[in-house]
Amino acid sequence: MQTSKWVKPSEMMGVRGWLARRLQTDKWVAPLFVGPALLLMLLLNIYPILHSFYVSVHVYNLKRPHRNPYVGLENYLTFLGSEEFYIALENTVTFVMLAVAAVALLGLVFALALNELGRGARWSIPLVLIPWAVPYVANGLIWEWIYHSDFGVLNGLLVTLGVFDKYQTWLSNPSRALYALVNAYVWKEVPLATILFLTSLQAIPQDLYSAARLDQANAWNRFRHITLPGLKLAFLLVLVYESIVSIKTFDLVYILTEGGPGDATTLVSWYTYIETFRNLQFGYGASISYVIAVATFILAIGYIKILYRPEES
Amino acid sequence: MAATSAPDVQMAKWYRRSTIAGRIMIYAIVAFMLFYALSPFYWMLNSSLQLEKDVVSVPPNWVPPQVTLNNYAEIVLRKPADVSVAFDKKMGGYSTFPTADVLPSMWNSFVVAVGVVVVNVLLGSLAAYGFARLRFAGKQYLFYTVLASRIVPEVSLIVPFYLLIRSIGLLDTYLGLIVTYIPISLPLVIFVLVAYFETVPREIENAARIDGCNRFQTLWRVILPLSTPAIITAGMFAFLTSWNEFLFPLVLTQTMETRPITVTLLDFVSEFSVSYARMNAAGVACVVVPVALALIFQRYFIRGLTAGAVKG
Repeated sequence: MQTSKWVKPSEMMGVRGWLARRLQTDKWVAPLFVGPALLLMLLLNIYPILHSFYVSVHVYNLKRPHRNPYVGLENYLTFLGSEEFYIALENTVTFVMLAVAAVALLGLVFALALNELGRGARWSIPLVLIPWAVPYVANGLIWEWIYHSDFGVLNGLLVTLGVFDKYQTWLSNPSRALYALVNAYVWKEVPLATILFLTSLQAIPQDLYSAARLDQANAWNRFRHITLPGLKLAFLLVLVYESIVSIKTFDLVYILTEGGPGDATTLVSWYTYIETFRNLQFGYGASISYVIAVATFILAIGYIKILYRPEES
Repeated sequence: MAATSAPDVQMAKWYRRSTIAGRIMIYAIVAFMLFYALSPFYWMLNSSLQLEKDVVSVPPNWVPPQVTLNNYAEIVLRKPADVSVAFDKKMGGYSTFPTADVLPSMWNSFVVAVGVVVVNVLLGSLAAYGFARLRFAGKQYLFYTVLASRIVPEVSLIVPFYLLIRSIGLLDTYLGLIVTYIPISLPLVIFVLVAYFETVPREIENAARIDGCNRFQTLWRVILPLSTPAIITAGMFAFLTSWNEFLFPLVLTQTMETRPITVTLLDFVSEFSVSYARMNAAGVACVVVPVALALIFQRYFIRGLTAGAVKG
């Protein structure tokens, strides 16, 4: 014992030995590893979730702070019966579908192009990544200035190129505002999708392609039977992640349109915010976010079921 | 693209043989990609370096006719509106100058973000090791619960958070913001780290364990030194999540003591005091730190993410 620095736990004596031996078993160690994080998550995540569920089945109106009667599902029924909610829902569905499809498609096309260039395009990868690092608020500011109806560069460019003969409105135009919002969102989210697709492409073994070429498979068939299956997991990640993030889009709406003009860009998150903080209907707001969270969850499960078949895991 | 059917072509050399048209298309896509990603930044930078009268010209000035750093000096030093700024009455009253403190709020953002990174990497790597290596009841279930918690919209968490943070007296403090950002950032950090830890060969770890290292020592001495890219990736996620957060600090900060740059930026966008040149300068101030970090660490970042994307 005096000679070697290391003492095996099995040879240790007394309490120290008992403790050391316990620390060799997963069952005893696990709480020490995952415990702190889970405890914090429980306190800071599960508690607010439960709390807002509690709020959602009560009337919480800050204008009448001391009267919070239990109303059961009334808040849920109210918003499910209100026209504004369905407009917001429709806007959100359009926004999410366009945004997720555009992010996945552009990300895939960019990644395929970068992959073809191989080492020669390496210098461009960090540049592509830049929009991803930008806060949504700054993203909103950048695009608000680009879209500006009097001095914006988008108008400047389109008029210079002769597409339009005079400056157009974008964010204050009901038929364009939602698409302008989608574009600002896609701009920030494409980089991450590009990198995810690119790293997946680079992980596909090259000999698969060589073998396919020996079998005289043409470009489309190689893409269809080697590239696409190799990208399945990246697709799953991009679709699930982007759906979750885009459904929650709030900062951009706050900066760019405040839900307008009219209700053209009122997404569900913005609607919830307005009901909660401007109309001070806390219970009502909480009930909406509950339904949105559950809907997102079902959507995520759906993607996983479709794209992640057990035989591949 | 060219569907050559020569059977002995090596894929590695394939692109050289593909048609010129295919190559041009690929270059065009990459050029478009770079333009799409970078031109909005160029435009912000370009506008921030111009005099106000040049910024609002029609057609726009593609490069500054006269480069000025005045906008930056103004938003940093908070001087009253400078005489060099042409004041166009036609544009309507924007005479009130924003009282935003750009540098102090950048510092606030930075301090909070560093705090968030430290807590995330510390707790995240412990938890990720547990999920990646230890066997215990309900592991998968717990892991997915942690990930699923991110689905809840922030809007619905604000009120409970406000009440929670207020009740423990952390309103308008750095610690209050750090505490708030942890549940937002930790799930993703754990996800990235678990994916990477699982790629570290178990043999290396087993060797250390046979030498008598306990689990903590294995993590500290074997896994973490081998996982630099993942640690940096996770740290980046945590930093950016914290720096970019807007809705929470909007509600949880009340004074310049803790107000982050994302909220301060609002002062420059507000309708009654808009100077477009200064607005863009403030925008640059808001993005310069995250963009610099992304550029410095991108190499690690891509490697750290690869493990997650490839191995799941």
